[in-house]
Amino acid sequence: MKTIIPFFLIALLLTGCAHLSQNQTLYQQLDGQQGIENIVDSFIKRIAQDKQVFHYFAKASVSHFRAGFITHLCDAADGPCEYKGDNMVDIHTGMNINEADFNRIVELLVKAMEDNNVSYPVQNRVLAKLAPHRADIIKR
Amino acid sequence: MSSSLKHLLLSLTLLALFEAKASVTLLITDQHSQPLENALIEIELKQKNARKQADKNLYVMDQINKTFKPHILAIPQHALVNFPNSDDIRHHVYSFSKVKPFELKLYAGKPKSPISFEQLGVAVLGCNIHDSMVGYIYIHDNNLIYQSDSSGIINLEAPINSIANAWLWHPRNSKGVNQKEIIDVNTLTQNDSPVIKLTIMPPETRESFEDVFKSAQ
Repeated sequence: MKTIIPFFLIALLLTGCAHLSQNQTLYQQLDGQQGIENIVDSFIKRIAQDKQVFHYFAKASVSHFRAGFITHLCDAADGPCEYKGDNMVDIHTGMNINEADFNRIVELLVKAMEDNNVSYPVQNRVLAKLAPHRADIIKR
Repeated sequence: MSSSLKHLLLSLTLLALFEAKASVTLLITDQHSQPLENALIEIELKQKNARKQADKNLYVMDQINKTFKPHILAIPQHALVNFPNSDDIRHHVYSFSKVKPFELKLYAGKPKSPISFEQLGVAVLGCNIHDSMVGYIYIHDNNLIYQSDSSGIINLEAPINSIANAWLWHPRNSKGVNQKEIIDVNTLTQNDSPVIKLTIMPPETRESFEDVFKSAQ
């Protein structure tokens, strides 16, 4: 009996967790506005140190990018925001972003999420939400 | 007026200009005697009517490699300026300046119609997206404009004797971007190589990635 109770409790906790995360929006799983801001700030720091992709951002306004990407992520994660900024095609046209550089940016975003202890399943949900934009971004 | 008389007058005017024409090399410096690039000298001639004609040219303020080209565009009043957006990257060009507040959403390959500048003064241009982009449109009363190079040098190929007024302008003048300093015309003629000193402000700090993270690179 002594051994059964902890197992039972763990099982209860696990199902509780699963149940909880199913009802949570991705926005909540990312810790809401603050969590998303932290991820974007880490992402910006990662970009700043990355020689491969920095040039795409060099002349861009940090605050403009930060505000735009926070709202974009919040919107994509079903948070209480609506992204009204410029669409992905307009933003990336003329940049000629190749596949390797695009993948590098995705890598930096993953690292930014890891910097903020975002779990793998939640990371994957974020990437899945952003993936449809891929064709609008590369080779434009 | 007969056309032959017109021709004669024109020839005489040209001759007068030619005779009085002298090349003066000016050096513009800042308060620390360092050569000052991007300073403008505006010259108003005494016989202004001789060259007072509507300028039908279409001027160009381009966006190349996320930079305004030219950095400073001098245009006569009422001139039209195109913003062709040659780097094919989206820009959002704006001016908050009193002489011409405007906003231009430029999409790659979709240049908008030209903008006319009706008032004399300076329009400071920026880009919402690329904070490091700064440009200036200097609107003058159909005068002669000379710009200093990276060594602070201006070759003033103007007919010195026919100069009525001269002004010096620089975007970072300590008295503000709209300030035009009056130059005593005598200083242009008295000395072989006149030096004009102007007190300027340090460049404004920008917040583009390259400005904020330069040290991290």
